[in-house]
Amino acid sequence: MIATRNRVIFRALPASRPLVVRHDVGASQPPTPDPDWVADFRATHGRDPNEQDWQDHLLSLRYPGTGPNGEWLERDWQVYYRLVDLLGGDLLSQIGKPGGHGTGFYSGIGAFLALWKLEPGPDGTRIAYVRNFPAGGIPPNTTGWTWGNTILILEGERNNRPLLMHEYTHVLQYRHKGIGYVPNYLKGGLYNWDNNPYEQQGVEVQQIYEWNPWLPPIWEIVWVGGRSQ
Amino acid sequence: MRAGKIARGLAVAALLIVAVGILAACDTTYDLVIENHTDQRIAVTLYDSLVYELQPCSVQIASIAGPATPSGKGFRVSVRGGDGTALAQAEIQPQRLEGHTQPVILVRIPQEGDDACPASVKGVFLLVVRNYSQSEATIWLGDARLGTVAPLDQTAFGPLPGTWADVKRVKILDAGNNPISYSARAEYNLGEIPRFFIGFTAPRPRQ
Ligand SMILES: [Zn+2]
Repeated sequence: MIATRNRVIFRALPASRPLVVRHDVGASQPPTPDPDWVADFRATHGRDPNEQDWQDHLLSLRYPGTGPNGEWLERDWQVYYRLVDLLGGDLLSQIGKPGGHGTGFYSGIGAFLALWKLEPGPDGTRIAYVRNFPAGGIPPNTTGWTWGNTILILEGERNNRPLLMHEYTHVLQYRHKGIGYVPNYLKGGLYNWDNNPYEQQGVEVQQIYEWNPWLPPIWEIVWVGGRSQ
Repeated sequence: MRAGKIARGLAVAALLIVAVGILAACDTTYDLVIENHTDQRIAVTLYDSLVYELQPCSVQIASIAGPATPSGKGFRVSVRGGDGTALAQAEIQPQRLEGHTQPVILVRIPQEGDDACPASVKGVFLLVVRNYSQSEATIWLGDARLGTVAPLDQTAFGPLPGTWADVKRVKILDAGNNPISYSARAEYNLGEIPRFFIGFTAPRPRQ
């Protein structure tokens, strides 16, 4: 996926700017916007597509929607944009980035808790499937715990996709906030999730994936900025 | 000497964990079970943001994340009727219930008594599996192979003996026998066999 992202061919443009193809991208010939798609987009939306629209379209080709042949229906796009709005540019722009030193510090604590029994996860994360204390690295009753780019998941929850999306949302939060993440999190309220914006975001992402199993994973979103309306 | 330094480093790290807020981004999974035993539609809200809409005489089950260590504080839940009138607001303490691997946040409307609906069917379920990927997938329940689900298709398996806890025993394998993670939730009418929905996806095979 990273390789795909490295081949991104368009300059980042504000939402109001039209899609512009850059021609000087070297040997590997990148995909060009499909003229039929551009015409369809104009007819449906009454405006020119921007670069983000094209990236979203490419994502919709890669993962089927809920239409009879796997096409994305209008309601699928609404769900997708709800996810995009929920994460916002601050977090989406962290996809594909490792986070700064602060994130690295927290990742190290996570690796310590996992006793370094980590598997490569998506988008530069590392995941440990563990048991609860004292046999494993996470507190009693806990099913997921994220430290920087390190995700600890209870062994029995290995197949729980919405939970992984919740934990990956925390990864993006760490990358965005760096060393200030944990103090900020604690300000929100460790047990008072009604007032904790980080957990609010996490549980909403989790619910979206519970109801919409067809959605591509968050880390597959290519964010160049400029959310469509 | 070097071993001593490493040990000291680990001890410092352990202390940091305690000091820096041990339970940040630490999640427990709860089973949210909402039973609407009334003849009107209701909407149940949790965390002020998660809304579950239920038809009359119906049940929904979902997994939700919550604080890891019980703080003694319940989950604040509010319930509105189909016309928007507030029906109830309560702090619900999670409880251990048979048929669930996780602590259960049980929301029953009305809380007790008066029942306008048929009794729940228990101990049996239908497993409705929706394959959003473009490859065939094989569905297992523990060691039992239930069958396959065609690409972009849905298959109902059962009725099968068991409870919501059995959803955790489902395994989905793609054509290359690789496990696929999935989403699960339940939605059904009281008096009918519970329907547990499972859905999953995968990237389209490269052309
Ligand atoms: Zn969380």
